[in-house]
Amino acid sequence: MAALVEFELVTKNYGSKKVLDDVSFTIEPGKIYGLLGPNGSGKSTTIKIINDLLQPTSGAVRIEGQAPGVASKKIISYLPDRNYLSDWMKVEDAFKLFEDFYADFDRKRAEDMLQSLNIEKTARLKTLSKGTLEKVQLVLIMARRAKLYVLDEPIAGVDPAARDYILQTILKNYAEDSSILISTHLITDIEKVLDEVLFLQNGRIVLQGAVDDIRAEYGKSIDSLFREVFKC
Amino acid sequence: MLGKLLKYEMKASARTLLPLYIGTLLVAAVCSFTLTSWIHANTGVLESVATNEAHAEIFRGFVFLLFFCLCVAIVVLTAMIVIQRFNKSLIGDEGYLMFTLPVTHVQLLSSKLLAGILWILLGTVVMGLSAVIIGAPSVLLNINWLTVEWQDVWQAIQYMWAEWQPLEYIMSTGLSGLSNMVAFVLLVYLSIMIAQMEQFNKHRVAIAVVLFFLLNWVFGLIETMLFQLIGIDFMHTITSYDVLHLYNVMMWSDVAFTVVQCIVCFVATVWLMRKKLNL
Repeated sequence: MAALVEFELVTKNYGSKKVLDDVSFTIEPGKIYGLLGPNGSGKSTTIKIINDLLQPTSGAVRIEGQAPGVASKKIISYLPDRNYLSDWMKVEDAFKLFEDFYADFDRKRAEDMLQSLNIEKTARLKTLSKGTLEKVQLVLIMARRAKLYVLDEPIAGVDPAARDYILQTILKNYAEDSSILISTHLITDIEKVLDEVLFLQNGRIVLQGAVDDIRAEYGKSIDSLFREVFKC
Repeated sequence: MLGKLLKYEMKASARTLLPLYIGTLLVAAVCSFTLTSWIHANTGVLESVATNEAHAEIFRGFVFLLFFCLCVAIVVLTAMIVIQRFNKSLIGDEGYLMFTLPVTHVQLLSSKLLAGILWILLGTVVMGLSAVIIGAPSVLLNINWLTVEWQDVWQAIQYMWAEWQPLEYIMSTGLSGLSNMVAFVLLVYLSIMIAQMEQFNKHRVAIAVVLFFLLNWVFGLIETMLFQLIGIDFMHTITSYDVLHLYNVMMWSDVAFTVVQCIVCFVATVWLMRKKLNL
């Protein structure tokens, strides 16, 4: 069976600047991956390439064995690191939009999540705070029954109290055979949920593997290791 | 999927444009009313209006000024929305959603283009209809319908139709207008799409504007050169023989060239979306 995501010697240049340098990795079904690295290490570029928002300069990217395109967009649920909804919409307009375009959108699940987060369905997105807007987007993304969830800095904008709830939401709502790729630099909050990690530095993967193996091998938590690897 | 995209596209623009269009038609109706009242007053039918003529004149001036402003607003806002719906929702942050929907780039561009064209056409219809609303009652009220010889009118129309055969001129002019409108919108899209590339990370808007005028000039130049090549030189031959025939030839050639220009811009824009997107 083909891997969910496969990067093979992927390089991305911006002019003369190399943002990704021969990056190779695979994402298998049923695991949670942490894409970790400091700012400017190539995390967002990697995520954009998976989502067909950016073309690699060289190398091959395959989602279920095929180049990113309409088919891969049907199975990937992507949370970007910014607000991508039109501000004139109400929350329910956004639900309708997702329902229209994604066959795997589960409205009941979305409404349940919205309710437990105390967000009104009739609220205009324009009137919501940045943190609440992030929650609405997360609800939309996690209410899809996708094969892969790609979350770019999913907890960066919300308060620490909401972080726990959101992490629980993520864990509760993904199916056993789905995978999650989370990019973040807030490792402490997220370490306990990760199965695998990819450390990116200056566009290169400097460390990858199962979290348990890495902990055993280095004798320290991923967070401490991160601080050591990326020491300024 | 194209239908769904188009639905969202129309919905997003309708919030601004529909009230404007409806408002313009309503103001046109008020203009029309004040105009017929004025005509009646001056022909002695409505005495009461004449006594209030000073007020009526101010009011009439006001509604006509308002109507003029609304017409300008239709042109400006429709153009702005056509540009913004592409710029903001594809190249801005909303592009992260639009480009990750399970739709093709061709469908994305087509939905923007179709919605833009529909709004421009609707705006044109609204302005044309407004002119009819304002002018028609005054004209129709001043015709003494009892004396009209319908037989003669019909014959006159038939004669003119047979003599001038205007169908081809109407078609060639209409299609030339339509194709140039599509070409205009596609040229705007192409300019924006080139300007968003990573090579131009700064001054995107300025570059898009310059590119638009530059590309417009280049396409115009190519068209003029092609026309001269195939012997349609506007300046020198226009007086030499059948002007109307020449007009048609010019229009059809323009349509043909513009269609090719549209295809080039469409294909180039889709290619840039696929390969050079830089969100």
